Amino acid sequence: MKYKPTEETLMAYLYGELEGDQAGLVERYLEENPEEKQKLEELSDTRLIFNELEDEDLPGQLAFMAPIKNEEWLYWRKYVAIAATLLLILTFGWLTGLKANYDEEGFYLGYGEIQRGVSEEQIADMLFENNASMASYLQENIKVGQDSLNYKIDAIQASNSNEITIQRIFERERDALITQMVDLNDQLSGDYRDIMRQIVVNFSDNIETQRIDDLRSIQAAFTDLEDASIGKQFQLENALVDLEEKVNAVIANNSNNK
Amino acid sequence: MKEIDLMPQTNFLVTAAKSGDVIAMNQLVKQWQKRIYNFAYKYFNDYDLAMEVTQKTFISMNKNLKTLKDEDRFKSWIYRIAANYCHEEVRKQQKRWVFPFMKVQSNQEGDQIENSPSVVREENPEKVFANEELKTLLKKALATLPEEQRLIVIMKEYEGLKIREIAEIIDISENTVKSRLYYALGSLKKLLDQWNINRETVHYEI
Repeated sequence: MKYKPTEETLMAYLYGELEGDQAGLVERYLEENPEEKQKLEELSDTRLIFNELEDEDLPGQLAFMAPIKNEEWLYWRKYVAIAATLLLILTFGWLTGLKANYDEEGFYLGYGEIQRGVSEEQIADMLFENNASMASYLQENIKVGQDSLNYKIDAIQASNSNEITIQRIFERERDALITQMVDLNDQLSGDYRDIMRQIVVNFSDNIETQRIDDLRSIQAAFTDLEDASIGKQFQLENALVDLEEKVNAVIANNSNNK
Repeated sequence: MKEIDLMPQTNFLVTAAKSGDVIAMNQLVKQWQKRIYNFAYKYFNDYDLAMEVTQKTFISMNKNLKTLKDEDRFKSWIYRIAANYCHEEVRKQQKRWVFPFMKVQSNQEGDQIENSPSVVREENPEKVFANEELKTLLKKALATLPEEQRLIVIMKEYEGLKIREIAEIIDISENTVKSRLYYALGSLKKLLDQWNINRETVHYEI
């Protein structure tokens, strides 16, 4: 059987990587097949031509970091940002009437007309005064607090040392209070008795007076009735007299006529 | 094939850096930053993205070096980190929706052509221009490869990794690596043919 190397074997031969006696076999095959040899030589020439391409030098030092895109823009970006910020501030200032001024007294910033504020010395004075008043106020308060504390401490000390005295005072005060209460009670009792008696007397007096008045009025009424009865009796007597006279007259007339 | 320096001190530096030696860590970064940067630059053909991946790779290295058990595997380990960040960046770029007019045209190509003659003033300006033009075309050709093929071509052709190492880094079989290399070289050859670039014209121009 005739030997025919594969494409892979030919490649290994071309690159000189055939092992053992295979190279010899391929060489013999190529000698016997000039067309194949020609083909392989053309491939070898192709390799030679491509080896004209030489190595390039590194364009720069490795930075061990991913290269940043658009480096130029990144470089200018911060300046553009600063310019834009300044423009924004200027526009804002112009729109709002913001005014800034600088002289030997300092830097002023304000909307509309700048009004000078208090100077540094004035502020210092104000601060000093404020501090002084605060200090005196605090001192007073501390003093008052101290006095009050001292007084209380004294009282506590006194109470501790004069317990017996306090007990005595307490007893005396208690007795006085009891006496007062008894007096008050007595006084209240006496008064009530007088008032009640007075009320009873008044009441009885009233009753008596009313009875007398009633009796008087009854008596007067009886007197009036008596007087009226007597009057009526007189009238009746007079009337009877008149009637008698009239009757007599009538009789007399009758008798005369006869 | 281009062979990179063997960096014999790497193992020693890795051991020292793992134990917290800041100077060793810095040396390690100095030693590897150019490799990782060029790996990412060829992958994206963009300085900024390459720098970003390089930064991230070394930040990750600084953070996770202690977890590396075998110092001999440092090379595979660091390329694996870088490859992961490259892949992540591609996904991010795909997700990012950009207005067409917002896309900033890369002026790197122009810069290269403008700047290079000052370095090699004594050379023939036409030759220099041709050389720069060739490099621009080669970068363009690399950019046309699918992501998984481009990654392997860069690792193999420019970083000098062995097929076994690439397989380990990307976590695929060695045969898959070889297969992808085969198709990638085929695609690149086709492009060079289209642009009429071959060994003779290149050597004539250079």
